[in-house]
Amino acid sequence: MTGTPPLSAQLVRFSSASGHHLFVVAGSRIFDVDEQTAAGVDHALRLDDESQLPAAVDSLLWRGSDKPQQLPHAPPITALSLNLMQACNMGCGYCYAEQGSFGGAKRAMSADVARSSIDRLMEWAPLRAPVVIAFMGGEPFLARALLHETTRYAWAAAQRSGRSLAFALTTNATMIEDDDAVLLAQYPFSVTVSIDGPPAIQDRQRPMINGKPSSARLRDGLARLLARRPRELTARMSATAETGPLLPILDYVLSLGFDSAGFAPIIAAPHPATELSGSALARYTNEMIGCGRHALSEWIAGRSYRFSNLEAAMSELHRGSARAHPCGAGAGYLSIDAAGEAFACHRLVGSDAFRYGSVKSGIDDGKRLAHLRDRAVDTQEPCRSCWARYLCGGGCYHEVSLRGRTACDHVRAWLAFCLEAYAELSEARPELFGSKA
Amino acid sequence: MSDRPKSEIPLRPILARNMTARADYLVPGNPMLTRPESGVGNAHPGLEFDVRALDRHFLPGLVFDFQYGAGAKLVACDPTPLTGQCDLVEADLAQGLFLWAVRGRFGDDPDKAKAVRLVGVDGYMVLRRIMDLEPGPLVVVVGTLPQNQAQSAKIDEVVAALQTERSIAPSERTGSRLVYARVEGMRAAYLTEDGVIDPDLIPPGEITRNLCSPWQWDFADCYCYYWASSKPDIVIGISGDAQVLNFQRDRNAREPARPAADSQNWRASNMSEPDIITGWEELPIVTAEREGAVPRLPRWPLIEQPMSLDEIADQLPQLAALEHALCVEYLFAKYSIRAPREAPMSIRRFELRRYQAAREVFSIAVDEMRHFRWVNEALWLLRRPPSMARAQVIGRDLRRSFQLRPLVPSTLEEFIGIEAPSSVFNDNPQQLDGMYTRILVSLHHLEGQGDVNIVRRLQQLVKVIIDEGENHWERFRRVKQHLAGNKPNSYLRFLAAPGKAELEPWRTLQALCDAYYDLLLHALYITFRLGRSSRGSWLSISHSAMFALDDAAYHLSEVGYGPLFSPPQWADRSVPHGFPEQPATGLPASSAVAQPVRLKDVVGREDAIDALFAQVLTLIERLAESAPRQLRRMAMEHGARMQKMKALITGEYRGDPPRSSQ
Repeated sequence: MTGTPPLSAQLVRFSSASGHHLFVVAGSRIFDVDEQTAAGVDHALRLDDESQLPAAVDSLLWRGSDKPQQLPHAPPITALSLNLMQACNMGCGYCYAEQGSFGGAKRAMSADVARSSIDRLMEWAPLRAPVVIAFMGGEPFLARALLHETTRYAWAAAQRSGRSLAFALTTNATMIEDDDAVLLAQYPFSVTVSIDGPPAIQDRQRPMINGKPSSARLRDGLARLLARRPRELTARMSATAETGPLLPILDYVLSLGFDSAGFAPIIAAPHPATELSGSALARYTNEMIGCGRHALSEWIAGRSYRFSNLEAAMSELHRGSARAHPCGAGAGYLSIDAAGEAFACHRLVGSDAFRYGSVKSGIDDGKRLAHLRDRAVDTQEPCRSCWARYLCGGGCYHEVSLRGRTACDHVRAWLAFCLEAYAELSEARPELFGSKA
Repeated sequence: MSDRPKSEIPLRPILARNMTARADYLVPGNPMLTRPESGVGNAHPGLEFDVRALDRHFLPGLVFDFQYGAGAKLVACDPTPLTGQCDLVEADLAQGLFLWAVRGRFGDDPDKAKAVRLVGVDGYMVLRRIMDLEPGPLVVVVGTLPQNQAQSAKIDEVVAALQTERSIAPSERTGSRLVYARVEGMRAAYLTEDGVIDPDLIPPGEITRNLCSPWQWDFADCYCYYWASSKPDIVIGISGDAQVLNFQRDRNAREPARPAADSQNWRASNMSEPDIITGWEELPIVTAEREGAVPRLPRWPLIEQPMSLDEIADQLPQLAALEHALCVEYLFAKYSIRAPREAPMSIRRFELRRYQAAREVFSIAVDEMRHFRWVNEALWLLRRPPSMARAQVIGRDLRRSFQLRPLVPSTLEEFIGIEAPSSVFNDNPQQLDGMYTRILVSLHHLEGQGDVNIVRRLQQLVKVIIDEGENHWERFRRVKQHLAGNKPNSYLRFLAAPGKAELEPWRTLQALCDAYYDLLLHALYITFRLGRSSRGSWLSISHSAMFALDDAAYHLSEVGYGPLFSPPQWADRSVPHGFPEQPATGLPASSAVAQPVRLKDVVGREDAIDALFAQVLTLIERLAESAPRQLRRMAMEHGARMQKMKALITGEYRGDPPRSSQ
C-alpha cells in the first residue's frame, strides 16, 4: 500500500441550498467555501491535480492526521450480545440468521453459558467502563425465563463491579407478554422491534414460521411495549428487492408510536431473490433519499421526524467521525452463541473466520487484533481510493464476506445526500447541533 | 432543499462547519483570549492588560491620569474630537489641571443625566465614577485645584450650574491663567465596530504599560500567591549563612541582623514600588534561597567512580533493610506517646500536641514503609530478588544497633539525625552524602547507557526517596516542637521498652501483633514478586495488616505494653517458608514483552494462602472468645476483615485466567 490516493479520494466538493462546501476526507472535516474557491477546487478535481488547488484548501488537505491510526492492541471488550435462542417463531425469507439457527441446528443457550458470559464481560471490560449486553436470536423471547434471569444476573453483576450497564434487545415483538414489557421498562433497555411496514407488507415479508400472518401478533406485542415504554423503543424495517416505496412505510411505522425508525437493506440473504442489488438497490437509494428529504424539510420546519438513518448520519457528520472499521464487531463488541462460542458479531455467528474463542477458554486477542488490522479500511481495496472510506468504514463484514462490496454506489450516494443535508440543516437549525441559532 | 438566497452564503473564502473542521481550522488573527471581554476581570491592574488605561480616554480629546490621593489629572488635550466650543489649549496643562465635574448618565440612574463633582476625590474613586458612565453626550469641566475658600466656592457654583443645566461660560481665566474650561463630547466606546480596542483612541502599548506581572505592581504589592510570578520573602545574603534577609529590602540601608518582626518595620525597610519597577535589574537573583549576582545553576556533584547498575543493585538490599528497620523503630516510638486515637478538641492543648506528635511519627513510619517498597521496586527493575530483611545496624555515622525504644528526647534527636538532609543540590556542590545521593549521581552518569527506561525509573524512585527524607527531617523537628517544654513521663506511656507481656489477653495481643507483622511482610514479598502483575489487592492486604497491627498495638500501649515486632525467621532469606525459592521474575528480556507473573508462581501451592492467614485467624479467635469486651469487638472486626482478605486472595489464586482480555 503505497502512494497517495487520488485527489477525488481526499476531497469532495459539494453544494447545498446553503452554498458551496468541501468535505475533506482526512478527519471528516466539512467547510463552507465561497464561489471562487469552489470553482478552483472543481478545476483541480477535474484535472486530478493537487497543485491546482487554491492555497487555502491545499493547506486544509494536509493539516492534521491523514488517516486513523493503526491499533496498537485489541481494544477491551465492553459489549456482548447473547444469542439466547438460536431459533425463531417467524419465517422471514431474508433472515441472515435463517430463523435463528444460522444454518445449523436450533439451539438454546444454557443459563450457565449466559452467566459465564456476563462474568467474563465484567472481567474483560476496564474498570468503570460502561458495558452493554444485547439479547439477540433468533427470537430472544423464545427463551423467556433465561432472558429474565440473565437480565437480573447481569444487573447484579454490574452493580457489584460498579459499572454502568445498558441492555439492548432485538425482537419481533410477537411474543411479548405483560411481564416482559415490565422487565424491559424496569431495566435500561433499548428495544429494537423488527417490523417491515403496514400489515400487508409485514405479513408478506415476515410470516410466522407456519406461514400465518404476523401483523396481529405484532400489534398486540407492541401495544404491551407502548403501555410500559422501555427507555428507548425503535423500529427497524428490512428493505428487500420486493419492498416498494419507503416513505409510506416510514410514515406508517412512526405513527405506531416508536421513538425512531430506520431501514436496513437486505444485501446478503440466504435466498438471493430477496437481496437488494443492481437496479433494485438503485431504487432503494432513491427511496432512502426521498425519505431523507422529507425528514429534512420537517426538521427545517421545526417539526420532529425521527428517521434514524438520517439522524445518525447528521450526528456522525457533525462530530466528524472518521472510522477505520465499519462497526465495533470484534473490537469492543463480541457475540456469544448458544454454546458459548464468541464471534465478531451477531450476524457472523457460526462463521469460523470470525470466531475468537469462547467464554470458557477465553478470547484470542491476537486473532482479534489481526482481524482489525487486516480489515482497517486503509488496507482494503477499493476502499482506500474512495472518498467515503472513513464514513463507511469498509462495509459490513457479514455482507462483504458473503457478497463482496456490492453496495458501494448506494453508500456513496446516500452519504453525498447526507453531506448536503448536513450543510443545509446546520445552517437552518444550528441549535440542533448545540450551537446558538 | 430550501430556497435560501445565495446572497446569504458566507463571504469569507473558507468557514469551518462541523466539529473536526472547527477544531482543525486556524482562525486568522489573535485568539479569543485576547479580546477585552474574555480577559481575567482583574483591573488592579489586569493580567492581560490594564483596564484602567481605557478610562483615561473616556472623553476623546482629553487624557487623564487617575492619581492616588489627588484626583484625575489632565495630561493631554487635543480639541479635534470635542464638540462645541473649547477654550482649552495644550499650554494650559502645565499649570496642573484636574477633573472638576462630569455631567452625563451614570449606571446607578441611567435614564437621567446628572452632574457629579469629582474634584477633591481620590483618583481611584474618580475612576470608579468614570467607569460607571453610560454612552452618550458628556459635559466635562477641568480646572485648577482649589487653593482657598473662594476657589472652592467657584467649583460649587460651576457644579451647581451643571446640575441644573444652567449655562456656564466655556472657560474662565485670571489673566492668562485658566480657572476652568468646559468641554463637550461623546463618551468613548473604546472598541471599534469589529470589537477591537480602538487604536486611534488608545495608542499601542498603553494598555499593557502596567500589568499584574513580575517586576511590576504585583511583585511588590500583591498578596495573591497564585500568580506565576512569586518572589522569596526571606533569603540568605550573598555572604551570610542564615536566612534572615528581606529580599525586597532597600539595598542602600544596612543589612538587618534578623528579619523585621512586625509589618511596619518590614514595610519600612522595603524598596518602593517605583524603585522596584525602574530598578528591577539591580535586584539579585535567588537560587536555592540564596542571593547572587548571577544565576547559579544546580550542578551535579563530581564523582570519581560512579557506580554501575550492578553495584547499585548490590547496595539496594542494605537500603531496603535500613528502611524496614526505621519503619519499625518509628512505629514503636509512636506507640510510646500518650496520645489519644482521635484528635482532641483544640482547647486541650497539650493532649492535642501529643496527638499531633504521634500522628507525625506514624506518617513518617508509613513513608518508610513506602520507601521499603520503592527500594524493592528498584531491585525488581534491576532483576534482583526482593529484600525482606531488617537491618541490625542503623545510621551513617552513629552505627547504632536496631532497638525498639520509646520516644525519649535522646531517641528523637537520633531520629532527627538519621533523617538530616541528603540533598544533591546542597551548598557545596562537591559534597556527597548519603548512599541515595551517591546512587542518584551515578544514575546521572549512566544516562545514555543501557536501558534508558530502567535508568529513568530508578532516578525517579531515588529522587522521591531523597525528597521525602528531607521532609522527614522537618517533620521530626516539628515533633520536637510539639513535645518541647514537657517532661518525657508526661507525654510517654513508658520510658523503657516494656518487653514481653506475661498476662492474658496481652500476651495473645502481642502475639497477634507479631502475626500481623509476619502477614504484612508476606504481602509485601508477594507484591514485590508480582511486580507489574500485582493487581493492588496485595498492597491492600499489606495496608489492612498494617492498620490492624496499629489497632492491636494501640490497645497494648494503652496498658503499658508495646508490640514486639519479632522478625520472622524467613525475612533474612527473603523467601517465605513454603514458597518457591526462585519464582519467575516476570521481567522482560531487554526488548521482549513481559510475561505476567502469576500468583501461583510466587506462592506455590494454594495451601500456602491458608498458612498465611492461619496464625492471625487463630489468635483473633482466641481473643474473640476470652478477651475483655473492647478487645472482643476489635477481634471480631479484624476477623471479618481478614476472612474477606483471604477470600479475595484465594479467588485471585484460583481465578487467574490463562489467556483473556485484561
